Amino acid sequence: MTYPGWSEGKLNASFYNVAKEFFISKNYKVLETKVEDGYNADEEVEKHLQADIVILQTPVNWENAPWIYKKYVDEVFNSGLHSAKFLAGDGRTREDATRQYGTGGKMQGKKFMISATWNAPEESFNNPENPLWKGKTADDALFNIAANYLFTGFEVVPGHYCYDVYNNKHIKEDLENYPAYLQKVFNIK
Amino acid sequence: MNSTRKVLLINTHLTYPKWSEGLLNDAFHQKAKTFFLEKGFEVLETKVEDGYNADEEVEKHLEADFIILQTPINWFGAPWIYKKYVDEVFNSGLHSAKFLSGDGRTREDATQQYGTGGKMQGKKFMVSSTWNAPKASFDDPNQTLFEGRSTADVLIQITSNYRFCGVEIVADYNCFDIFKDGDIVGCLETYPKHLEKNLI
Repeated sequence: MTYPGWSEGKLNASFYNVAKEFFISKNYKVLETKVEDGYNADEEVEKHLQADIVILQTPVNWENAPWIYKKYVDEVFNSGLHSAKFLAGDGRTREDATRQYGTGGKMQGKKFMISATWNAPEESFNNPENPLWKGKTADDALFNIAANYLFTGFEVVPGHYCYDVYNNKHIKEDLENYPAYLQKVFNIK
Repeated sequence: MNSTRKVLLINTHLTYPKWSEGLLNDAFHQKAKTFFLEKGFEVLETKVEDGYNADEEVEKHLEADFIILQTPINWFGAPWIYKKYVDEVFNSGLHSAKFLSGDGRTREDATQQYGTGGKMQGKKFMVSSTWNAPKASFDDPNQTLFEGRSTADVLIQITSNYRFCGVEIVADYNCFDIFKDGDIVGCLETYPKHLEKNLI
């Protein structure tokens, strides 16, 4: 989400374009959504149904995705819930009490990944001494995003994170290493 | 000098007609309001869905000793209007340097940790939330969705904003399984005890 003069979106666009070029080079068809430019929730459901892999590129604003992303999630996942295309309930049934909450998804076989840019430095995570995260990982901090996909049956793979972006001296390196990360995490030949 | 203690009650329920009308979150909000009025607090209120001014919300946060967020859980977080509220209000508090003076790190002292730049020390924040998820899905490593996570682990997306600004986080209060077997009446009755124990 654009904040003129503060966050213009160039870094997220760079990661996005690296991913796009990578998947095109691997003969994937690339479906795209730029949330800020608008979308139709029902069409987004269909795009999720078509995709084998879903990747969210996001800056971290106040410890999570910008608000336009939560609006997108509420609208798209509500559509996928009401149409029963994403899931058939929350997994529990009156008939079988052993069925767990969160097992009603229909999106098995698909994979989801977050690629995020942080002001937070890498050493603030996985560090019990850090007063903010208290030992949590970056994946833990963004679990609310992963949970939506887990709830609908996706496999969620570990996120790709570019830290400390306002001071970072290795943005270039992170961009260069991103295709190798994608190749490895999705087992692409 | 005015020594009356103040609490800010934020209700961020988002109405979905005939699906989620907000009665339950309003009931918790009213329960908290009654509790704090009886304790002699001044109660500041914000109903996010009804609109707000970000700069005024910053001032309400500065005045309040306690801040309580009342929220339904929609897709594992607060409704999107809440993240909009956070982005707007906390950006205002950042740009005015009223909430924080940076992220805590300084050029001069590299030992200063990320997340220690807050200015809101002495204040306390609490989440009160209503879930479709059952209680049994938390704190249990054998549960496939949360894999042992607590409600606090899932709500870190919300509490971390306040911790970043120096606010102490107190134990969240949760009403589970509200569409099926949850004990809503019991949850409402027990709520004042939770407030008393954790805030008074």
